Amino acid sequence: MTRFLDYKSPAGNNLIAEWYCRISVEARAMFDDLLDVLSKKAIWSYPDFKRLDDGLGEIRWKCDKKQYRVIGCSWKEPQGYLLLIGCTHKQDIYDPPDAIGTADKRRRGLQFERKGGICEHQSPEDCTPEEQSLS
Amino acid sequence: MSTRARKIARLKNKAYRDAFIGSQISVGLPFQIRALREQRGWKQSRLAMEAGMLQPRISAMESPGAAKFNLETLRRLASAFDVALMVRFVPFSELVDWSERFDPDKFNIPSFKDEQASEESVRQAEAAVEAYVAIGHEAARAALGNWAQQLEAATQPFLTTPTANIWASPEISATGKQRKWLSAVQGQYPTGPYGRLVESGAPFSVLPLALYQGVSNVLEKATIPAKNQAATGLLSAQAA
Repeated sequence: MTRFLDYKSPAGNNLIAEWYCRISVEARAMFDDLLDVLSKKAIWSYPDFKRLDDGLGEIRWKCDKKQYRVIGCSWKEPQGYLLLIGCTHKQDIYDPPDAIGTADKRRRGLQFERKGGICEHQSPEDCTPEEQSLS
Repeated sequence: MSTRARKIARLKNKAYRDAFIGSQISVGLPFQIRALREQRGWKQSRLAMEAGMLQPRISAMESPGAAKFNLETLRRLASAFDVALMVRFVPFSELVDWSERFDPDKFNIPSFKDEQASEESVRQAEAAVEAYVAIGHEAARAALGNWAQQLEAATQPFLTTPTANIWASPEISATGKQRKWLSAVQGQYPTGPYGRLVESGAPFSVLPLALYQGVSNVLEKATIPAKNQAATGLLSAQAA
């Protein structure tokens, strides 16, 4: 069973949880279900998962006519997966634009500079209107 | 907090509840379709042919959120896989429990033909058990008692599963446990009726049900002989 972890910024903010609260409730429910199913799957494969370069990978789903991606990497234990950044994707363009580069930077920061942190992934039970209005 | 408790907590939000229903369709169905297709060893093109659809549509239906499902589409897929389809309204707790149990790697729904084969295997297993009982001398009876006791120990975790729900039961449908159970039975009694059933080449998927029902019968006959007067009478006559 795969255990998901969230990236935390050097300031201690859970950037995955913050992103989660900014997307639509439909996209959130799908993200939760997708992680739930993937946590039980021995082998992840396309179309719900795609390997990127340098050991990164993206969890993929579509909702509200948008392609959602959460970029991450295997972490420490073989069955740990670190979620580094959430984004959307349209016609080969990520939003935020350098999502893959940011994910890579965050991972390297954790690995080599001890910048940032990680915590057990746990989708917020409810997102406040203030958090949602940031989208 | 368990994953179930966390899901229930999120469902307190009405908008999330509504979205959860949608996501169970948009995410759950693609994994079910892919699992059923792969179990049958089909490529997407084969499923497309069986369902009378185009391959790109199958591809979309296997991608989370990429396809809109309607009942006619699901009916056609059910027909292609030769499985039943249940659409019903349920409490949220039931949907949560289903999502907790659902494991795409172990999701296995036999086609009608395989179900029929399973029933035939049950009949064969019962006949094998009857024949075993009917050997009818004291040594065989003692062996049966010993066999039954050990089988009972080996299968105890599974015997509480209602037969009608055997395919839906996570305990039985879990492939690892099926194998564990099977190897426990086979390992101890390679020449018993179930060992012979395995040797006969019956499909692996039909064995758990056959084993469960056959073993239940054996246990009943072995531990409550009065319930089977014919068998015990025969045994007594042979012993005398």
